[in-house]
Amino acid sequence: MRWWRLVLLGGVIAAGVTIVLRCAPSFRERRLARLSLAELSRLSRQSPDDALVLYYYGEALQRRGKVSDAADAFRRAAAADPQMARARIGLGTTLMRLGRVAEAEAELERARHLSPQNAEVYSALSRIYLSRFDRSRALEALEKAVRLDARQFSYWVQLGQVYFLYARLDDAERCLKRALALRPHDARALLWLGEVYAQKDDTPAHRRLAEEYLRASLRQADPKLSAEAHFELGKLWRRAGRYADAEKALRTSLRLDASRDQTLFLLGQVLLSQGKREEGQRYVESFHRRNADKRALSNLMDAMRADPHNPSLYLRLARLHRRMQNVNAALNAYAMYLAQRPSDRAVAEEFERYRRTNPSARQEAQRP
Amino acid sequence: MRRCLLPPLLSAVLAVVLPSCRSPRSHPSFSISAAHPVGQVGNSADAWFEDRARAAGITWRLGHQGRSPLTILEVMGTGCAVLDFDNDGWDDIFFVGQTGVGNTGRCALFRNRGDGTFADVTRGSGLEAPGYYMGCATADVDNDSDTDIFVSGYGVNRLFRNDGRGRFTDITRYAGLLARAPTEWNSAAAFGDFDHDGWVDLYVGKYVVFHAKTPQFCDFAGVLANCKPQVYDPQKGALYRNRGNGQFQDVTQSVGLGDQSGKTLGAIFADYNRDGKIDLYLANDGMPCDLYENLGGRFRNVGAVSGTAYREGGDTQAGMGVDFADYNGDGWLDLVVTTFQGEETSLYANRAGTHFEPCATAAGLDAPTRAYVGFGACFADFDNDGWVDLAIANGHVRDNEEKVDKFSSYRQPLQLFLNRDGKRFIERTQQAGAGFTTPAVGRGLATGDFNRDGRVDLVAVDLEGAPRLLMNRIPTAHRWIGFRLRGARSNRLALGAMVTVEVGDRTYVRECRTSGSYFSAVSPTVHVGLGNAAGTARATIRWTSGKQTTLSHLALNRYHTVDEARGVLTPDR
Repeated sequence: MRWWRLVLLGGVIAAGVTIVLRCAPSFRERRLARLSLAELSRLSRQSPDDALVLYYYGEALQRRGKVSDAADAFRRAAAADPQMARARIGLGTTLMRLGRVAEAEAELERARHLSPQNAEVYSALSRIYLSRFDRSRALEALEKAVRLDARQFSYWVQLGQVYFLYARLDDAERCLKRALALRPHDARALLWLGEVYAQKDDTPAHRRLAEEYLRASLRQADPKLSAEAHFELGKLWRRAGRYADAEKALRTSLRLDASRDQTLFLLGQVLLSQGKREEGQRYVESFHRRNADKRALSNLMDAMRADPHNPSLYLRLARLHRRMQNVNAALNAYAMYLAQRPSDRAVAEEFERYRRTNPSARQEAQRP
Repeated sequence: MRRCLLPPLLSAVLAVVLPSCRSPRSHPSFSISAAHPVGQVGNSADAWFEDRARAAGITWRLGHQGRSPLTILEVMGTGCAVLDFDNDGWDDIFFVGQTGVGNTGRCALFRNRGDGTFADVTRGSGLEAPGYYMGCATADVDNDSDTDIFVSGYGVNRLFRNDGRGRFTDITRYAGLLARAPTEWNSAAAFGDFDHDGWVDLYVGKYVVFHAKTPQFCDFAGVLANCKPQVYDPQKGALYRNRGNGQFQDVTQSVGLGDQSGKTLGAIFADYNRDGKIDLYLANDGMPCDLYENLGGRFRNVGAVSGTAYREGGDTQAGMGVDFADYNGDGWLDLVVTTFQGEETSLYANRAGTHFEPCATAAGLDAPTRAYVGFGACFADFDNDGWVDLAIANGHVRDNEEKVDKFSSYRQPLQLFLNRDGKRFIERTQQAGAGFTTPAVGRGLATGDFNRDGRVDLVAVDLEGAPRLLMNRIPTAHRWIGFRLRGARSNRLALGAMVTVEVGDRTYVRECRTSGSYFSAVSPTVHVGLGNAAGTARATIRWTSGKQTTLSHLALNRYHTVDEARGVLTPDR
């Protein structure tokens, strides 16, 4: 063997060892990722400072929907390894799901600082921006996310959605098609692409595509999305004057998801278009009533966000919840009002009376 | 042999290891340019509309001199009116002003000299009274053959009676139309004779409860800007019956208008079901819109059931500007409502007066209108092809919108949509020229024919600049016919009269009105584009008194003045 061959072989072995050593955690991670929640729980107790164990424990908790516990696990992971960007992303994501948006953003910004080429950070940040209706920053973050990792289905779907919000339908179409290239049978992506075509110029080609994608979404048999797909089909067929088909689709949508107020409205309109006046009016009026309370609630929440120290808004909220028979929410709103206006005896009595008449209500809404 | 093993070994090691060690890859990025670019100035030589405001001597302007952020009160802007206040046959212009805003801080009246220029006749007209005005409406409230002006605003209403010699007298107090509180936010106003007694009645919309103690600004991702209307409680408008003695009586509750949604920005009287009784539509911001069917002096709110209260999918819309016209030629008045960015401008097709069906997508208005915040809206047959077209004035409500959303802007272009055969609207903003494409903070918009050439012109208010006088010069040989109506038993401007024109095998239905658009009043002259029609026209006018006048052998390309009592027919030119 010549000397240079020995040198080459030595170099290759050294490089291999280096790479294996660098990536060694991935073997451990694969093992951790396969463990059950109970096993991870046990491991996290055994090694309370092991950031990797805590991270995977947080992931497992999050998958089970235990968001608060997951946030705690991610927080401990981040404390154990302050350089672990993933832990901060997990923490940011779970905090956001808990409605603690400012803290979530701070964690995600730290993650971005630690790992500026991590696409997941930008995807998570985009959700924060969207929750604040900051569409332009969401768009920039998602464009960055897909530049960094074009293989992530969810990034393309999110980006498609944001383009849809901007009425940039061609861009939305392109993104959703990229998403579907990664997951051809995803019901949500199919549904949204159908919606994009339904909103594009109303040509026969677009109508046909809209119908195709909406039907394809239905074939995936996701009950919640099926209701939405039937609703969109109903809308599409109503536009085309196919009232009988629209009626059928909307009735199916309503059967699958009775909580969708809009379906009541559209079904009512389709019935009216067919001359079924009495039934149509009934649906429309039912929608109108239900919608009024929901709109009032939404507007009141907007007002409270703009004017958080205005006690009268809490009192109005309490009374609105009473009317909507949301007992616990009403009691909580009363309690918050009385915390700011403890001397208002009339409302205190109103609160007590209401609490007495609703014994099944949660006990924590005590008079402050 | 060993030499052969080395490369596969290396490849195998790298193949196993590298997938778990991701590296950033470059991917094509997306363009961030807006879907509808703004700020492109068209070739003025070919432009279909020429902005002649400055050349015509219109020097009045609005503007906040860069002050920012502005409150919701400051950004709602003002309207304008096209009226012939001196009865010389030429359309004049009234601009609604606001104290402290623009170069005069007052309203302005410009008299059309008939030679392409306008004279500012505000001084000494009686219209100089200061106020934080917003909307306007025009009609002959005392049936003395002069067009009077009503102006609405924040804590203020004014009714100016026209003496016909260029002088207006403020009769608000006597008329019983004073604002009831300094914080009463009067918005859109509309005249129409709902009880058909020959005297025009007045609807005054109201917007939201806003004053020093309500939130002034909201946080939009770290940027302070004016709050959404959802933050504020609604105020609800009032209907005033004209007693015929110069006084008005609030009949809101007694005629069934007590269940309005409030937050009204657009108001229009129109007989949508052609039963001879004038109905009322209210475009409301973030609330269900209201359609009041006139049952004969009493109203019933059929907004939800008619399908016009909500967007196509049942969501509320930010209703702003509004107009009625028969866009598809079926003889029934269809409805357009401009809305906020992200919402399509709503177009509702009238199905024989029984209900409406949303058709913005089918008509091509959906995608092109979602990028903008629409305010003024006017249907008119700009190319005289026999199909009513649509013009929209756009402009955002946040003066610092570029900070809130870098892909959006405060200034936005106007839009022109030409109607193709009553089926689709094709956007022709670029061809319309710089008067449309140059971004503005569009608010009020009104139609008229300032040079009496039979082509409908526009006047548009820019909240941050000079208004635009958009003279129509679309090259077309299409025919047209116009009517100036004079009521006798009906109100003098004949508001609410329905005009049916028959030429060849086509029938055109138009309604005489001044209400509609956003905070504005359009010319009451009824204009009908006739395409390539030849010969003469036959017209039937159904007056609000119930009388019907039929006229035959009418010359085309003429304005005809028709008097309800005398049946006098005067071809103007």
